[in-house]
Amino acid sequence: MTVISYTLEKCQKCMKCLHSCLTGAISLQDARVKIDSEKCTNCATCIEACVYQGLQAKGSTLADLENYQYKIALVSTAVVGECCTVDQVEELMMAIKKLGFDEVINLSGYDGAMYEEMIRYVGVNHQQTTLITSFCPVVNKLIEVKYPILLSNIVPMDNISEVAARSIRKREDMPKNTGIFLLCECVSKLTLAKYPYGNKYSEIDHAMVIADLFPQISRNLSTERLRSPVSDKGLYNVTANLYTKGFKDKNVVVADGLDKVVKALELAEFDRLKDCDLLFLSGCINGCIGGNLLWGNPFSSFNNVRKLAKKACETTVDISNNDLYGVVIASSFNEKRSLQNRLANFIKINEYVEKLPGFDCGACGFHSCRAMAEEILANRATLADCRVLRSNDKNESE
Amino acid sequence: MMKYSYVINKDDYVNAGKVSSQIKKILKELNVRPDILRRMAIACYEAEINMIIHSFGGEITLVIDNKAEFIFKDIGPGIKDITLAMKPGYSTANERARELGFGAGMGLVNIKKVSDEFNIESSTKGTILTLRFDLL
Repeated sequence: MTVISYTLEKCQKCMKCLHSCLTGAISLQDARVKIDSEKCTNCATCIEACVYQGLQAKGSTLADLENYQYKIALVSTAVVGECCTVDQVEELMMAIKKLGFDEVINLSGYDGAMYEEMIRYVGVNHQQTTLITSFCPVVNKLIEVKYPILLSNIVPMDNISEVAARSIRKREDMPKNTGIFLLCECVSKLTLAKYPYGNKYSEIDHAMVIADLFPQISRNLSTERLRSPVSDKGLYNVTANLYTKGFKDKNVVVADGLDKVVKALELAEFDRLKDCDLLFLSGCINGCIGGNLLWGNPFSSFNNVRKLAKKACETTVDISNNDLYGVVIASSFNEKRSLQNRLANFIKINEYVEKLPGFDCGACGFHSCRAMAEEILANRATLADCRVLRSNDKNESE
Repeated sequence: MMKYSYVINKDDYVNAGKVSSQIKKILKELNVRPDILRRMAIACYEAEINMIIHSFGGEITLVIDNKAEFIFKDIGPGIKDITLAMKPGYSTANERARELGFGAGMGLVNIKKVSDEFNIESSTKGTILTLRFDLL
């Protein structure tokens, strides 16, 4: 599933998005950007690469609140990390409540519970293999698409916001028509909710972009406060530089930012991280506090979190360990072709790859010569679509 | 049938693992089942590093047909005592290699453990390590 939408009128066909994509999900066909939703990890690198605002990701809006009688806002812990005192957090929560919510819950208590359980889990399971954990949907999808070898290393815990929504939904005093809204710090978490991107198994009704709400939140800010306890362990769970704090005698390696994540995954595939008990991965720099939809930046947010963590409380949400686990990402390996078939196909693709220049320039609209070769084999392109080959031919005939 | 060959140079720590990375990429493009791919990647990496540390250099050949066959062929100096070399923890890696984190002595043992077929022949003229993997 991709949450990234494309506006044709704004697109200048500069190919920057195509070159930026980690998984080769973007192509330019018929003068339009196409995003392969099977490959897209929603990392938003393409959104950042586009200088014409031709790519964006939109969540639900405040208008969606009207469909529910009772409205609950779940505020990602990373959003809390924009504040450096508990007072500021409570003022922020009140400002969010004034957007029209009946209840506002910051997820740090749930993050804290998850963090405690992770310490316990690693203590019990550490000897078998390098465990991998990420609450980052981008990283999980990246592993699924490019590193399926490592799927079995992932700790099968669920996403925190989903855990929270599930447990809140089960509350006895819960009014019937309750809407649960997640206020996200990054593009990829928009995929978690039922709306607007259709994750039908979710207990989260809507996901919203926190940056979109910021102008209104900013106007609502006052000295009025809404009590909202902040858990220190919850903050560690979303901050790469603080993550190792609670793991006393365990070897935990943290990789934040997609470059580091890719490096770590490549090494893990060769089993080169075997002395590491847990590998904590986050697509954003410095963890979720570096989310691309926050108003701050990963570096100043880290300073804020450090200050806030000193004043935060040690208690976490009381939730049973079983409720923290979720669906294991099953291996998407689904190969119906026989090995001979695959080999034959591979050899044919290689024949075209040999003929192509190998610059991966993208001028044909595909991200690499190999991708182009696959298209040629599928009869969706021809060698004549390669601009480099064409210009070579022209030069020779002159 | 598909065949790939790569040259490995003695003591080339700078490029250690590059051939394994290229082979891993090919196997992924072939869509080899992840659990098999995992074993192949580990074996190939360990064997490549062995060649860099211990041999005078050589060649890695990968042949894929009904099975995948890796041939690691070097030009010496050979393994003196293969039985000893197959013992967990035994290592002849020099200090430089150990400083870099190589040579914990699990190489050959690990390789044998993850391979479907394992064969090693060695003389002073060189060592030939042949590994086979079922791909189905």
